Amino acid sequence: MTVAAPLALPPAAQVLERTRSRNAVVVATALYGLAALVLTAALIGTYTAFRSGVSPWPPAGVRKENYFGTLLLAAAAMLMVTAEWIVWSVVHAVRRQTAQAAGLAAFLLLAMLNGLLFTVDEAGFGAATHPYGTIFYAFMLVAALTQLAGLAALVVALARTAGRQISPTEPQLARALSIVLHIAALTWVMVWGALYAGSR
Amino acid sequence: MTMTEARPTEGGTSSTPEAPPSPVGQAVVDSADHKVLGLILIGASLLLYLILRAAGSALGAELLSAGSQVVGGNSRRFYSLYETGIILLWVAPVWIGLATYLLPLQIGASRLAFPRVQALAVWTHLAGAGLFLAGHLIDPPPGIGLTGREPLQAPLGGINDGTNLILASFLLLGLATLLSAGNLLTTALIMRADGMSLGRMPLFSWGVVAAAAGSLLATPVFLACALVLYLDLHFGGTNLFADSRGADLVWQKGLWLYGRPEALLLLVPALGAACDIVATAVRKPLAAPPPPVPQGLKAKLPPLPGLVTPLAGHVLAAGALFAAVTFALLAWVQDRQTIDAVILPTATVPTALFAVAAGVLVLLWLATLREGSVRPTLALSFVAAAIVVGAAAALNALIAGLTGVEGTELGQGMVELITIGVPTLLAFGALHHWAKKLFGVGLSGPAGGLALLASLGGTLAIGIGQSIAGYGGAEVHAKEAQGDARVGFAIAEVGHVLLLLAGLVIALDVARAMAARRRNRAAPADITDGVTLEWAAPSPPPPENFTELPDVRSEAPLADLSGAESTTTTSAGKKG
Repeated sequence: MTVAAPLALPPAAQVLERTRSRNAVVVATALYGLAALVLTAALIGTYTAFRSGVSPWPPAGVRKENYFGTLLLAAAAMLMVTAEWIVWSVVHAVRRQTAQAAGLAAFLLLAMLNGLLFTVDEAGFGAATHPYGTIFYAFMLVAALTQLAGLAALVVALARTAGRQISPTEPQLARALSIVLHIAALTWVMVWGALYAGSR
Repeated sequence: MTMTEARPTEGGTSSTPEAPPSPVGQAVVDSADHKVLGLILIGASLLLYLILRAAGSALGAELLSAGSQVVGGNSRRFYSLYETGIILLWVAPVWIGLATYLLPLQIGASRLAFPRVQALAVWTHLAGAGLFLAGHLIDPPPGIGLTGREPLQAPLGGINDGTNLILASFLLLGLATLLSAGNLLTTALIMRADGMSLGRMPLFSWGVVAAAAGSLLATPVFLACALVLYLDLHFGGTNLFADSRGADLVWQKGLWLYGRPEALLLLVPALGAACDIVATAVRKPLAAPPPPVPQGLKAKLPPLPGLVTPLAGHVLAAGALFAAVTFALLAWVQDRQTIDAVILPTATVPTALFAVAAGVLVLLWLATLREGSVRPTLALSFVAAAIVVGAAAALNALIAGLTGVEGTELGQGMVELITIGVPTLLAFGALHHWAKKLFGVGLSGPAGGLALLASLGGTLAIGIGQSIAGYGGAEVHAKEAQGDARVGFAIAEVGHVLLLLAGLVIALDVARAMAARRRNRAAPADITDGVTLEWAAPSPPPPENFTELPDVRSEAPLADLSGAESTTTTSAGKKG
């Protein structure tokens, strides 16, 4: 008669290794997120350098549409709150709210991307028309990339949740997701500050 | 000998590890092993070094006689290829490659935090290098600044395929640097072995951490400016040419980034490696010298043991490395060429402070060597050579300051000494120092000696030659030279050839050692080889890096182990 051996608990070393990997994801996300913010800040520096040298600023023919910029700012603020909501609901094991928060985050990101596309569509100038055009498109590209990164992180997080890799005891990946969402939102806040609030 | 996992048998390991998998073909392309990735980057950077040094030699030959046509009308192309490429394609990748290979070993980790991200970074770096070379090779020549750091006059060049390729290469190389920096920093912060606190990390790892932190702040600025430039030029604009106001600031603050602080940042892991080489030579951590206290006062004061402990030296060295990064960033923030645009302290002060931080490290090395029993090695000779070159640069800077010479070829001489010469010498020294861990066998002593003499002589000849040309009035990137300047350029050309020879010797020796790595079985660890954790791994390390990991109780865990062993042996002998 063959007796099946009982399933062994994972060795402590494996658990430690897994925790380390999860923590590494949070740290790396924060570091790369910081780099994205520095990149946006450098673009703002470039924008300021151009503005000091080009007159008039913005160049003739540029029509600044504050309405959409500010609407996107509101979306960014909501995204930051939603990002924290995701982490809270994961830590407190409220799965229904996690799903709702993730759905809202996806909706907000798609809305922001749509708003960016609309803003670019309505711009009426090209990337090489004048310095304002160059920096405007650079801003839009970076903002779009951070928002796409947010969407990608959301998809990955959903897959990880399905694989039971995000739980109240292991919320690190949810925290990493929230950092990506915060970076996407903060990038737009910085772009809005330069393009719409900071130059008249 | 205390181990956290298996108790070793005689010889330091419990079993002879299997030889590592063949680092060729599919295994190389698919691999996410930090050791394979590090070797790929080290090998590629040596190859690129030879190409770039050959371009530098051709450029130098152009200036030997009037009407010389060695590079003909391509001098712009050669300047850009050599001066930008030697930093981007040699100094950066060789140190990233060494860090990729050694950092996990030094902190007792089995892998990097994100192996696949590092694979992406390595291959992106190589793709960027390919685009950079292609951009300079295709016709017509690229319409970008002489060394990718100055705006052009609008009629010159304009956008073409070469320019597009070079700008794309900047984006790829910047992205690769960013990916590597984030990954290495995360690895050092998260993946350290039990007992390996940040304070106990080896100084090469500290140098990597400091440089990675600096790169995470500096490289995004470079990327942002490269992105703006790409958008402008690719879509047919001229907004960033010299006649557009504001463009100068973008070039000087953004794209000159790879001249400074990136070049200074790349010195930091090199200085960290030199710290480890010195510590290994005396088999103990760096020790801070006692403060100079007068004899009469010393009798009245209580003893100051803290200032002479190895821990004090280790912490002081780590602090100097971080200070160097800070000053490198400050020097870049205030570039002297835009002094009228931004009100900040001049670049001279932080650059001088960077030199002070490096000087503190040199004093620590000398104090440690004076106190300890030195085991002379070739790697230590490379460190000595780097100190000589640094001292020559400091003397040159002093003479230039006193004579008021500025804006000539002298500046290029200083770049050759400090930002290219010192990291190159230390990279060659590091390859010799860690050869057993990198390749499983040591590099050849006679070949290394030849490379040492050639690289030291070559670096001094280029630096001094270009400085003589500068004092003789030769402008930066001169196309012709006369009188004293021509003599200076002739000396510099000898230097180029010597450095090419040194690179060739090292590259051939490394190729031989890499072939031996594939053939030979791994040798068990010999803990008398060094004091830091990488020496506890077999040579070369197996895929999981360590067969057993010593307890880490100080910044020199292997010195603790061998000390404990010798004590045990002595007491056993007495008992017997």
